[in-house]
Amino acid sequence: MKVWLKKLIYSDDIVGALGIFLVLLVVFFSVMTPHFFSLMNFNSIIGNIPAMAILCLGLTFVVLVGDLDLSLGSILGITAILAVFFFKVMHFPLWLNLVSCVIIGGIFGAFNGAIVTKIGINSIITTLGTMALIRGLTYWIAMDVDAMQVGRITDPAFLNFGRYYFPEKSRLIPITLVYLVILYGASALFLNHTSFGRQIYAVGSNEATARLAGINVKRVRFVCFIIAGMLSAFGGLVLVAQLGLGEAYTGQNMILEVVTAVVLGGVLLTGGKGRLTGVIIAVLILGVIRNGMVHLEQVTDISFYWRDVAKGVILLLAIGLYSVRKSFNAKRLRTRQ
Amino acid sequence: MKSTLLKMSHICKSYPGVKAINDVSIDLFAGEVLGIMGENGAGKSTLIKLLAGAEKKDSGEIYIDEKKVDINSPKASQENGVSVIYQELITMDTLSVAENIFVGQLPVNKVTKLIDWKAAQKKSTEVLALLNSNIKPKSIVATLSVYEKQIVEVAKAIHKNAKVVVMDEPTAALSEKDSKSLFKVIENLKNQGVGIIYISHRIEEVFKISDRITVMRDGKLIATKQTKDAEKKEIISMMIGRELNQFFPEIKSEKKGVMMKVSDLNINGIIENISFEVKKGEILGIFGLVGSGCLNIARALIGVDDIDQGEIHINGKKTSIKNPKIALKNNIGFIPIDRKNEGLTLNFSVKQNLTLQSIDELGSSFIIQESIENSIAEKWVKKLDIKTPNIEVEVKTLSGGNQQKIVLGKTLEINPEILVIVEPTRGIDVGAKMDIYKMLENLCKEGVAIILVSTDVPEILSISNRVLVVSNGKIRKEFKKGEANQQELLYEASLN
Amino acid sequence: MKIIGNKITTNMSLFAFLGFLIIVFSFTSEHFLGIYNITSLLTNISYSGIAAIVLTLIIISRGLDISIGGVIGLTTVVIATLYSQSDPLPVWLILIIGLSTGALVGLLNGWCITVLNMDPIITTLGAMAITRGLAYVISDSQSILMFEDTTDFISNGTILFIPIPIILFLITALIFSIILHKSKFGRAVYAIGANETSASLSGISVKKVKMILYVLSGLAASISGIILVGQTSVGMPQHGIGTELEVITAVLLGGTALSGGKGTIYGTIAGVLILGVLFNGLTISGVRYVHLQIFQGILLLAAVATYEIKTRNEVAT
Repeated sequence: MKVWLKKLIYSDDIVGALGIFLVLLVVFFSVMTPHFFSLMNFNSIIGNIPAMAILCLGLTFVVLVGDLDLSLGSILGITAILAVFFFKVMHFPLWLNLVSCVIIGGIFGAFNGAIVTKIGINSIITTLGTMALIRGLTYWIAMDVDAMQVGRITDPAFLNFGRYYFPEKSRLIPITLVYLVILYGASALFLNHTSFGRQIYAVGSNEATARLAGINVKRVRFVCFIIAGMLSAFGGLVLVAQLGLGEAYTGQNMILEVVTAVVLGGVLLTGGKGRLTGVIIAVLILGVIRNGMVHLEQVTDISFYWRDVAKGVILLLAIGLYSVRKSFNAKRLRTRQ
Repeated sequence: MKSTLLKMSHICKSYPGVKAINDVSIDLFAGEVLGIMGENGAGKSTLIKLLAGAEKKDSGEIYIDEKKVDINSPKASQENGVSVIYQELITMDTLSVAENIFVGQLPVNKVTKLIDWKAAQKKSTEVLALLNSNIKPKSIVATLSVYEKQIVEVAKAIHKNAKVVVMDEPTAALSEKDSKSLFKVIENLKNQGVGIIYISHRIEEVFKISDRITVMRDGKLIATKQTKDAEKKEIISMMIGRELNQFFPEIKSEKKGVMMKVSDLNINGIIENISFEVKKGEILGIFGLVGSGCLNIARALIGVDDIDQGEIHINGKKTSIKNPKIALKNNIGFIPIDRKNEGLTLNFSVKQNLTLQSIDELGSSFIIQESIENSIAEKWVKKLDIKTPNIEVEVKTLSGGNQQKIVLGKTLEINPEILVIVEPTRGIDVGAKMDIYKMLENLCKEGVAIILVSTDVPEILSISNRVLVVSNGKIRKEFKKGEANQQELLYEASLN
Repeated sequence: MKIIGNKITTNMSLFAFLGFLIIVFSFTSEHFLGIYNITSLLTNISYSGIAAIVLTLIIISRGLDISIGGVIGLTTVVIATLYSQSDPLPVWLILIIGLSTGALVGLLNGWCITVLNMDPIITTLGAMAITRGLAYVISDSQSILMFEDTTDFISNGTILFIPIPIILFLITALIFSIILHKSKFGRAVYAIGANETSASLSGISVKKVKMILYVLSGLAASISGIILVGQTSVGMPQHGIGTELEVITAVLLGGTALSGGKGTIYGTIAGVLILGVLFNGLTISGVRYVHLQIFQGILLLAAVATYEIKTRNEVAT
């Protein structure tokens, strides 16, 4: 078999491959379109990904422990609505708004976690249900609570939360980038260098063995759902600040892209394996594709909507590659009985 | 100075219908290796489960370091210093060696509360060095060989200050070179005062590594002897002990030509140059211990495993058995080794299971004709004397013997010319065993060629017309009926 | 027989719940029991019910198909686009192309799942993205209106005063009821879901059966799409969003277990009816469409939790 194919199949370092793919994409779009390769455009790309990236971070926690959470988009949505509500109606100061929303996100995460660990329902179906439930609640609050018909947020402090740039004059570094660096950095530290973080990996890798070693499996899973909920809420706040408003449909279609990025980033769906570096590169890849396709449409006739098709294809290729690898390895590891 | 590390006193454990362990008393001293030998069903695995805390004993006491302990859970077992290294390794493959060794207890820097990886790696290297291993603590376990994974498990045990280490068929999946390395490791452990219970079928190994040998049979402890004072043939006799001809019928065959011919079957690294013939109406026994390759041969014959080289001829015609469906089409019936997970669909009814391999026969159209289904089911219930309230109950409610009869009936319905049966009477009561043997006898008379893979020595010796002894993936020797006794058979199979 | 016993009690409680809902809603709205509403209700049920029936078999075989909504959207776009060409193809050909869309997606799903051994959930999730995306591409995110309504007949025509979609649903239910409960193929489906290893060792072509199921699921989704495009006279890439959740809820509500090997068509019919009556009754009583999601989520969780707890109690005894 061709060497490069063998390497692709057997190699464990997907992050490197992803990095190369990202570079190739950037080169491709830079060559094919005139305005892609510019500071302003790169800032635009980075400006569009924070909410997604934060959700991906949350989902990573859940997937690492062996579960799945499809309700993150809905949690983001309800947070968006509530943020507007807290701000306009309750007149919360920014910090109180942030704290309340994140706590509420954590509560929804706890709800997911409780159903999965206490009642024992499969996390996919559970979060499919809570995805609908929470989205329904979001629409209800947004449409029926009169006080919610509030319109845009105009408070500069709130807006700056999502839109601020350093330094003020040259607008080089968006504050959202800072959030990402802090959140991803802290999460990496947590996952790789703390006892609980390693327990997450242990449970995802082999739940029975983890339990035998005395790890409280239920607690670990429960906490991961809470973290995912809180991060989704934070992502919702960032998005609202960026857009200046929160609508009932905010985040409605995000979950597919979030799952794609996490899977593409090399996080194993069965749990116990995955690096945050891979996830963030995957997020960038998807962001570059989305942005690049817009430019491409202006230059060629290729419809911008191919990007959704592309995302689906990428997801299938990523999972397909993984499955093929698994079959090859299974054949390699036959034993004599 | 030898202290009694472990003392199991008058232990009893029963399952419904079976007394798995009957008044067994064992003691283990510090720094010694106690080999436990016994056939399948002797009670060895139950003993392991009790020590590991996976099951609770019915009666008796367990003492660790002369103090009475209650091992009622896996956690309790570990806390009392018992560590079991199973045949099926339970490593966390996606994590590093150090993490596996330290799982749940990674060293933490007191000030920063972060994991002290340097300490973890240093300690891992130390522990691994004790085991003569230079595996790097950072390596991901998935990339290690089976032997290396075992070493990681042993390292984990030592790190947890295990006093008693139980090894279940540790060399089953190891090469000779790795087995030798493992023995050195065991010597090291001994020198540190660890007590090791070494469970294996391989008599040469047990004699090489153990200080004392305990023999179990039918749930009872037969004897414990100092290894230096024991003889291999004596140990094997104690393992077997049952009178041969009392229980098993002599099956007369009427040979009428070669049914199946296997030539130079090869699965790379697993089995090598397997060649044999089976005649019509003959029972060919294939005997080998755990890890010998017998199961691989059986699986190749029924199309579950792929063959790398070699040919199979059925009735003179070359046949390629790529999957179970093709095997069935070629009139090869089979009884798989795991009746609960491979032979039966537990949630299905008796009649649904009996007709599972012959769904196509249940009527000429695409609709299942219930009358045909019922009559087929009733036929086999009667023919095999299957004890069930009716044919509609779920098979999971039936006893092991009746379940096995259903597996047999299911495959007989396709009118096989060749039968590949693996461990047909494991875990079954005597009555059901006899029924099954009678059925096999009838099949022989009708000219069916039977390939019997079994580790039940008396069974395979008394039923088979010929027995092939397999070890290390190759056929070692062939015995014709009456040419070997039980000791010789077990002895041949235990050699490397 | 224990299996039948459970089937009966589960189905009985489901139909009892259905009856309860009907009674409640007949009080909350005077229009509920009117012939117009019942017809509308049953037609809507048929729309998602056809896909639900086929999904039942897939879930029994321990699989899942989340791409239903995407296939619906794509089918409506394809049909509407072909229909509004200046010199359109004959109607029957357009319909066949529409059906082929779903069948092709099903083929893709089946291939990934059986040949490449990919996880059904992620595979069909990807398929959903691809079909949804293609729908946007083809339609350029526009709604495509169909003026000459010949397909109108399919959705609005009646046979003996019964709307055709309802007839299609009944026929599908009948056919698959026979297939699942009485045919050899159905036995294979149950066997694969209950214990795939045993089934494979018993000579059942697991790959073939699964492939057929996914193609059928794609076809069923296409039929739903045809019904929808005929009813609304519009092909939109947004068509079908949320339908997969509706269908999955209905099937799980009906007692089919995600772990495979268990489930009945009758249960699914009950589930589809309950969901349909619930949505219809709530809508007619003034609850807005977007709020129905809350009930859907609660119902899904409550149903699955109940079955899970019930199964656990059974195992314990």
